[in-house]
Amino acid sequence: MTKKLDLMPVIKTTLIVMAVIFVSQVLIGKQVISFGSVSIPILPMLFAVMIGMAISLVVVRDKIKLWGKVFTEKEESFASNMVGFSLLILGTQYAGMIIPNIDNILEAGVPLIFQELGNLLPIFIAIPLAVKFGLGREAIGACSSISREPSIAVVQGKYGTGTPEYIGVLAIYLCGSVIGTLWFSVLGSLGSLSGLHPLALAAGSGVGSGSMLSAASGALVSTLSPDMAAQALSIAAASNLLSSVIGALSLTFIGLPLAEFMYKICNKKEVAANA
Amino acid sequence: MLKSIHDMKFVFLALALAIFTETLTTGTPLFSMWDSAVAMSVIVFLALVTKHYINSPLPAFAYATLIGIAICLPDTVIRTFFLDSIGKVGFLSCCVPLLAFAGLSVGGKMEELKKLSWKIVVLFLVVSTSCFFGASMIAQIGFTMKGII
Repeated sequence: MTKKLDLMPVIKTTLIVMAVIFVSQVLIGKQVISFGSVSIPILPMLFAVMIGMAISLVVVRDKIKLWGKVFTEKEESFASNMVGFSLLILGTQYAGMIIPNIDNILEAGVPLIFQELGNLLPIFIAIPLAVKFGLGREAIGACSSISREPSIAVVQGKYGTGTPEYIGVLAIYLCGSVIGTLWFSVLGSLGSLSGLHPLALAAGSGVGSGSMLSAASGALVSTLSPDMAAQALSIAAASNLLSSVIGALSLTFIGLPLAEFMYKICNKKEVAANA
Repeated sequence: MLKSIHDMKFVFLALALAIFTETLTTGTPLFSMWDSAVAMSVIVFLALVTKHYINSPLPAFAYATLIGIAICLPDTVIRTFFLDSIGKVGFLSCCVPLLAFAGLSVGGKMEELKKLSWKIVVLFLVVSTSCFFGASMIAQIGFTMKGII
C-alpha cells in the first residue's frame, strides 16, 4: 500500500503553494470593491484559487516552457491529493466552531433538515432551461441536484453507466470541480445582497462539496462579527454534514421522480411549440 | 492503519501550510502553534482510521468534524485544550492553502471543460446558484419560524 514516495513533486508543489499563499495573502491581501453603498469583500483565498487556476492552465504551461517543466502532471495530481488533506484540517476547524455553538445547531436542526428541500429548486429552474437548450434526458441527471459524489452514485445506481442521465450528472460534476470553488466564493460574497440573513446563507453554503463549503462560508463570514461568524460557520458545517447524509436519500425518493416529471412537462411544451 | 499513518505525512504538510498562512496573516510566531498542530493531527488521524474501518457516504473531512465534536463534547480539560489550540489557527488560514491547491489541481482540466458545450457551464451556474439560494431561503423560513433569527 505504501509506495516509495517521489519527493520532487512534493517539494515543488509545496514551494509553489507557499508562493501563491504569499502573493495572495501578503502582496494582494483583502480587497474591497464598492458600488455606492454596497461593498463586496474579495478575500485572499479567492486570489489563491484564481492564481492557482491561471498558472496551471495548459496554455500557460505550454507557452512558458520552463514553467511547464517545473509544473507537470505529477505536481498537478499531488496538488489534487493535497486538497483532500487540507480538507481534513478544515474538518477539525469546523468541529472547533460547532462545539461552542452546539445548542444553536441542535435548535437549528429541524430547519436544516428541511433545507434539503431547497436543493430541489434547480429542478424547476434548470430543467426547463436545459430542455430549451436542446438537451435530452441528460437534463434529468444534470439538473436534479448539485451533482456531487453522492448524486453520481445515485444516478449511476438508478440509470446505469453510460446512460444520458449519467452523462448529464458527470458533466455538471466536472464543471463543479473546475469552477465550483470559484463560483461558490462569489455566491458567498454576493449572497448578503439578497437580503437573506447570514445564518440562512450559511445553511446555503453547505449544499455542495467540501471546497465549495469552505469557499462560500469563508467569503460569507468575512464581514460578520467574530461571534456571528463562528455561529455561521458552525451552521454551514452542520448543513454540509446533513447534505451528505440526507442528500442521496432525497435525490432518490424526491429529486429524480420530480425531475422526470418536470422533464416530461417541459418536453411536451417544447414539442408543442415546435409543431 | 498503515495507510492512515502514511497519509499523516501529507496531513502534517497541510497543517504546516495552514500555520504558515496564519503566521503571514497575524504574525503569530510559528512555533507557538505547536499545540494546534498536535490537537488537529490527533483528530485527523482518528478520522482517517475511522473512515478506513467504518465506510459510509460521508466524506473524510466530515469524519474529522464528527470526531472533533465527540472528543470535545464532554466538558473536560481535553475540551479546553482542543478548543483553545484549534482556535489559535484561523479558519481562513486553513482555507487559503486549500483553495491554492484546489486552483492548481484544476487549471489543467480547463481543456476538458472547453470540450463541453458552453450550455453545460451555464446550466452548472444556474443549478448551483438555485441550490444555494433554495437552501438559504428554506433555512430563512425555518430559522424565522423557530425564532433563531
